[in-house]
Amino acid sequence: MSLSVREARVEDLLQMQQTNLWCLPENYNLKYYLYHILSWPQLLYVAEDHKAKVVGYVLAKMEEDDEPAHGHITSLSVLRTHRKCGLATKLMTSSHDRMQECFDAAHVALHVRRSNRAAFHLYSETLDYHIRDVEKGYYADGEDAYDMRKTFKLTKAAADIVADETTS
Amino acid sequence: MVQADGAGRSLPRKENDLFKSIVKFYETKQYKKGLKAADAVLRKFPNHGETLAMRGLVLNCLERKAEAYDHVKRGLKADMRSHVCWHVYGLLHRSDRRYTDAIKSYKQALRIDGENIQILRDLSLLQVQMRDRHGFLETRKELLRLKPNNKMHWIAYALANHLCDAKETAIQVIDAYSNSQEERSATYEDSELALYRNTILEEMGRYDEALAHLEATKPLIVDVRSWRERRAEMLLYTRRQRRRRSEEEDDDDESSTTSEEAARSAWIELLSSTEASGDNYFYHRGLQLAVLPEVSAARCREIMRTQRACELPTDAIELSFEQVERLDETYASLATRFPRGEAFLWIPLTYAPRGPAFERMLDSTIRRLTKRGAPALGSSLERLWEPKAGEVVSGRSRGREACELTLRLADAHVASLREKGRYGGDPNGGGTVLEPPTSLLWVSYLRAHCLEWLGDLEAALETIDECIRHTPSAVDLYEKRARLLKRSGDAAEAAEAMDSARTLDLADRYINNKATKYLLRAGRVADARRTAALFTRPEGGDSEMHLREMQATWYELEIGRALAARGDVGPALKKFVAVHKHFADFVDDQFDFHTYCVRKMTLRAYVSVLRFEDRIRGHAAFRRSALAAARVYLGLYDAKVSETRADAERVEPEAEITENDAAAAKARAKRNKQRQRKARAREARAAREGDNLDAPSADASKPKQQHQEDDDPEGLKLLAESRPPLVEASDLATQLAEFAPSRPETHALAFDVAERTGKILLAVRALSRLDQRCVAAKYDKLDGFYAPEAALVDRLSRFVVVFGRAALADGVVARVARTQIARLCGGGGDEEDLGKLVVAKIRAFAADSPVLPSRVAAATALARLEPAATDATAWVLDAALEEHPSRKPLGVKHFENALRALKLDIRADPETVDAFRATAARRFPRAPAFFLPDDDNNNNNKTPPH
Repeated sequence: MSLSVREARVEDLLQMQQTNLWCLPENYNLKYYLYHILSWPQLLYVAEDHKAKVVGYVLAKMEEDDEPAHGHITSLSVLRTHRKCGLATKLMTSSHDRMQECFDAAHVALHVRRSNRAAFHLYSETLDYHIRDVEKGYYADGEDAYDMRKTFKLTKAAADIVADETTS
Repeated sequence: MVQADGAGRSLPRKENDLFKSIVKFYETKQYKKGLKAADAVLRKFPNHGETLAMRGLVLNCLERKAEAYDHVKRGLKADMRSHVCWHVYGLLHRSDRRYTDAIKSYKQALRIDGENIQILRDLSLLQVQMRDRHGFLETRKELLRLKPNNKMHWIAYALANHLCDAKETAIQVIDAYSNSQEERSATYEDSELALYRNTILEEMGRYDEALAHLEATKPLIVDVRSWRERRAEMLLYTRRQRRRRSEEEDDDDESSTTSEEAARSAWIELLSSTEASGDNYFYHRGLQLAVLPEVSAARCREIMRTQRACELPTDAIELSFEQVERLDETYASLATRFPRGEAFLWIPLTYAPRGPAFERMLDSTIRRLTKRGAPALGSSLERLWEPKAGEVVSGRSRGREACELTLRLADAHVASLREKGRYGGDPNGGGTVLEPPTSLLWVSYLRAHCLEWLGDLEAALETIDECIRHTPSAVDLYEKRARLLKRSGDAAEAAEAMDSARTLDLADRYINNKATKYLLRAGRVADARRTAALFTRPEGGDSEMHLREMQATWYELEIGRALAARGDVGPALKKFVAVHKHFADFVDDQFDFHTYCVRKMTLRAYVSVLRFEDRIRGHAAFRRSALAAARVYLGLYDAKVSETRADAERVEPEAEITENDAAAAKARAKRNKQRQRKARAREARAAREGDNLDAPSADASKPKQQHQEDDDPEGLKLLAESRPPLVEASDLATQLAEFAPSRPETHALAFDVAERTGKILLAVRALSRLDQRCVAAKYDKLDGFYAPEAALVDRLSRFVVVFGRAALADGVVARVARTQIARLCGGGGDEEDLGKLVVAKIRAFAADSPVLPSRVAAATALARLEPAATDATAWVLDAALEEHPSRKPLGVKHFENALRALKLDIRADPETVDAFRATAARRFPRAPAFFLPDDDNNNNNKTPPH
C-alpha cells in the first residue's frame, strides 16, 4: 500500500493533533505534542498516505524519574479508513524499539478503556502487554482503565551489571 | 533573582529583609504573603520604587492586571535608575506576550547592570523567541564570557551560531566544549550532541566529513537508528562524489563499487531491521537511489530532500529495462526474506511498465489486500490513477486506463467469487478452499471505489447497496454510501446517510465527526453541534468551548464556513478568529522550550521546531481560515456599499444568492439577540475546566490554561470591536502574502482587496503575482477557482471595469499599470485599449482551456466586458466535461458553479440555462441544484430514472 511508517517530524504535529481529534475523546493542546517531540523525538511515529495525510500516529514518552526508567504510550490511533493494514502494530513496535535503544527502557506502560475491545486485543494478543491494574474511573467520563505493561528484554544497564558480576 | 542595592534605594535592615522576602514569595508563588510583605515596606516607604514594582509583579500573578501596571509604572517613576524596576517591567510585558516591549525593558535594565546573569538569560529567551538571531548570539556570547564554566552556555552559544548561519563557528564551539569534557560515554546527551554536529556538517554540504564524523563518534551513539540513517544517507552523497572524481581522474572504479555496495547494504539493513521499517518510504528512496548509481549526487540530494510521503525516485526517473530488472530483483529478494513487508510487494507496482507483468502484479495486489479486508486499497491505488505533476507517466499504466483495468480485474473476481467462492483466473485452479464471504465484500467495495472515481456514481451506489445487503453491519459501507450521495450533489441525503452510519457505531469518534461534517455541509448547524458534542467531555460544559480548548481547527473551519454560508457573519468570524488565535498560541508555545531543549540536548528537534514555527502560518488551516475570514469581511463591505447605494436610489437591492449575504446576516444577528442572551447565561453556567494534559513534567507543559468563558457567542462584540471590514480583509491578505506567497488564492485575495480600496498598483502587483503562479497551474478546491489562470482572467476583466479609466490617465502610475496589464495579456497590442487586450486574452484562454470551469471563468469575464457578446454562453455549453480524457471527471460543484454563473453573471437566456441544467441533471440526477425549478415532485424523487 502507499502507506509510509516513519519517525514523526515536527511538521507532522498539527496533523497528528487533528488525527487524534478525529479518532479519540482524549485530546491535547499542540504544546503537549511539542513537549513530547522535544523531549523524546525518537518515540513519535506516524503513518502517512500518498497524499501526505497522517492516517495514524503514536505519541509516546519516557517516565525518566521513575525507577526503573520506562516508556509510556500517551496516545495511539489510526483512522478507521486505514484499519487492517497493521499500522497500529507497526507504530507501536517502532516506538518500543526506540524506547529501548535510546532510553534503555525496562518496560512500557499504557492505559486503555475497559470497553475498547479492539485496542485491548491488540495490546494483549499482538503486542504482549499484560494487565497490571484496573484504575477505577480513570477517564473523564468515568470509565475504568486497564493499566497495562509490556516488559522489555534485559536493559543495557542491567546487562552491564550482569556482565560485571560474571566477570568478577 | 533581584537584589535591592544601589544608592538612593537602600532600605533599613528590617525593610530590606522584608523586600527580600517579597522576591522569595514571588518565586515560590506565595502571592498573598508577597503582597503582605510589600505592604509592610510600603507603609513606611510608600515611594520605594523596587517594592512598588515587585508588588505590581505579584498583583500580575493574581490576575489584577490594571493594578499591576499601575504599581510597576509608579515604581519605575520613583526609581528610574533601578535595574530591578526595569527587569520587572520587562517581566510584566513578557507575561502579556508583548515581547518587543519586554526586550526594550530588559535592555534598559542591562544598561544599569550589564552583567546581571538573570536578566541576560531572560533577554536571550525573548531574542530567540522573536528571532532576533544576532541579538541572541551577542547575548549568549556575553553569558558564555561571564560564566564559561556552565555547560549550557556553550551549547546555547553553539546553537546561536548555527541559527545565525555561522555554522563553522557552531562546529568549533561544540568541539571546544566536547574537548573540555573529561570523559565521554554513550549517554543520550552526548549522542544527541554528536548527531546535531553531524547535521550541521550535512547542512554545510561536507558529506565526506560528515561520514567520517559518524564513524568517529560511533561509540558515543545511543540513538543507533538515527546514526545508521545518517550514515546511509551520507554514503549516498559521498559515493557519487568519489565516483565522479574517479571518473574524472580515469581511476580504476574499485573504490566506488565497494562504496556503492556499502550504500546499498546500509539501506537494506535499515529496511530489514524491524518489521515496521520495511514500510518506511524514506528508506525506500535511499534504497532505490543506491540501486540506481546512474543518478547524480546532486539529484540524489534533491530527491531525498524534496520527496515526501510515499513518493519514490522511480516516480521521477524514467527507467531503462535493465534498471527495472535491477529494482525488481532487489525487491523480490527482500519480499522473500521478509514476507510481511507490504511495501516490498507494493512498490514494484508503482514503477512497472505497462503490460502483462503489471497486470499480474495489480491482480495479485487486489487479491492480497481484499482478502485482508483493507478498505484503503482503493484510495491507495489512486496513486496510479492520479499521477502528480512531474511524475513519469509514459510507458506506465496511469490515469483512467489504470482505474479501468482495476475495475475489470475486480469485476472478474466479483463474478468468480459469487459463482465459485474463489478469486477468478487463478493459475493453479484455485485449490479447494473457499474464500470467506468478506473477500467478495471487499472486492465489491473496491469496484465501487473504481466506479466512483470514473464518475459512474449511480453504478457505484448500486454496488454499495449490494454490499450493504451482503453485510449490513459494516460501517465503512454506509460511510461510502454517504460519500457517493455527497458527490452526486445531494448534500441533504448524504448528511442523512452519514448520520445513520454514525448510529451503527456510537463509540467511534471518526464516524461521529464524519456525520458532523456532513451535517455542516448540508447547512444543519444545530444538528451538527449536537453531534459534535457527543464526544466532548460531558463535565466540560459547553462543547464548542471544549473543542476550542482542544484546538479542533478542522471543526472550527467547517462550522465557520457553514455559518458564513447562511449569513451568520458574527458567529462565523468568531470561529475563524479562534483558528488564528490557535496559531498565535502555537507560536507562543515555543517559549518554554528555549532553555528546556538546551538542557535536554534535543537540539536537532529544537532547531526544526524553530524553523517550523517560522512558517507555521503557511499551514493549510491558517490559510483557509484567513481566506474565509477575509471573504466574510469583503462580503460585509460589499453589503454596506450596496446598502448605501440602495438607500440613495430608493430601490430594493437585487436578491442574489451569494454565500455571504451580509445584509441578511445583520438582520439575523439582530433577531438573534434574544437567543444570544440565553446562550450567554448558559455559558456562564458552564463548568470551568483545566486542560487535560496527561500530567506532563513540570518542565515543559506547565501552564494550565484557565478556561475562559465565551461572553460573545454570536460574535457581536467581535464585529463591533473589529476595524472596518476592508481594513481587516487587507490585514489578512497581507498575512497570507507573507506566509503563503506560493499560493494562487493569496494573490487573488490581494486583488479583491485592492479592487475595493481602489489601489491600482496593488491590484496590478497582485495580478502579476497571480500570473507567476499560473506556471504551476493546479486544481485548487480551496477557493472554488479551478486554476490560477481562471482566477487571473476573471480578475483581469474586473481590473478593466474598476481601473480601466484610471489606467488611461497621465502619469507614471497609470503608465506602469498599463504596461503591466498589457504584459499579462501576452504583450503586443494597444496599451491604450486595455479592454480590447483583456478580451483577447479571455478569448485565447477559452480556446486553450476548453474544460468547464475554465470556460465559466472566461464567459463570466467576457460577459462583464462585453455583455452583448454571444460567445460567452456558447463557451459554457460547448465546454469539455472532463479535465482530460485520461483523468478523473469533474465533480458536481463545477456544474453547480457553472449553472449559477450562467444565470447570474453571464445572464444567459432561459433556453441556454435550461439546456445546461439538463446536461448537468443527466450527469447528476440526484442533485437538487439541477431539478426543474417548477417541478416540486422532482425534489422528492430520490431514485432517478435510468
